[in-house]
Amino acid sequence: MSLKDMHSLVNFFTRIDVNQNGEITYGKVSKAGSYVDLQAEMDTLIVLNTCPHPLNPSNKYQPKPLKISVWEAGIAPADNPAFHLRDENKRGFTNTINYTKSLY
Amino acid sequence: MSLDSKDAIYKKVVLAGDYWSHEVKKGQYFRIVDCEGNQAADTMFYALDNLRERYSAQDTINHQKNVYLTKGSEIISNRGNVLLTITDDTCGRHDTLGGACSAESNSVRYDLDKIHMHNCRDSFMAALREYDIELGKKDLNSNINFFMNVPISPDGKSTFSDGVSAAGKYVELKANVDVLCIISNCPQLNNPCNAYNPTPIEVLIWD
Repeated sequence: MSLKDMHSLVNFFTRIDVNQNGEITYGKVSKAGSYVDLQAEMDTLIVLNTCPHPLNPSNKYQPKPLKISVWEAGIAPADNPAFHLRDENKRGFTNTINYTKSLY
Repeated sequence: MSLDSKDAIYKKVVLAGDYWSHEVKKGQYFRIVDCEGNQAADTMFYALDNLRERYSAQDTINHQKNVYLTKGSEIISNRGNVLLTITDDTCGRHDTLGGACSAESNSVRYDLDKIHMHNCRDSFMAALREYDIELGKKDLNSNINFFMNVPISPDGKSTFSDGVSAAGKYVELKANVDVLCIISNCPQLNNPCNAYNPTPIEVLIWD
């Protein structure tokens, strides 16, 4: 894999605020112990880098550690509240289910 | 400086729903005209020196600290270089957060049966393949939606808002390096981005 495989990314724990003119500012900093949980709906590769956000105003380069945990705790799509949140989600899950079936 | 269409070295009307690709060389000016108004021109740029270097919405937004593109915006690549600069803009605001429609997004947003409808990503793929057979899905990245007004509210919601574009409005860019430009003149019929009626755009290039 190389440069062509790098696409847009998620900056977990960084809050960026947008005002009415579209200007963005570095927002509140995440507190120690904050976490985010994700469930894999298909087999995925996660590539992660700990470094300050490009808009972090600090003039010191101070990346901090993250802790990553993986559990076997799959929730069936129909039991997942996200599935029922709106029709778009239901159709997205349906696409994933059909795609996964097509692989095996 | 106002450019006269008589002096353009290249002029082409891209029909409703069609796609277009062309090289724009360093120093050339490039204009896209919204011929009838409120037509999304989904656009991607690649550096000709190395096609792996391409437009990046995230780098462009971080660089200018603003989510909307307009006159003065620098179009930044995934390697942090300036590909082009927006030198004139009679529309006033262009979106780069909404992405391009695809067969898959049509199926999720509208209905599973809409997967067969025309969409920008298929147009991008066709345009990339016609230019270079080595190019494909991996080369698709973020794009600019010229002429689209997609306001972001302070609580993070994005909406298709009333169009700010109108017949004859245009955006003009100057190439900072040699670039390949790919446009999908959006064929979308399921949402108001083209007012449910895709229309032509015109592209012009000046030396």
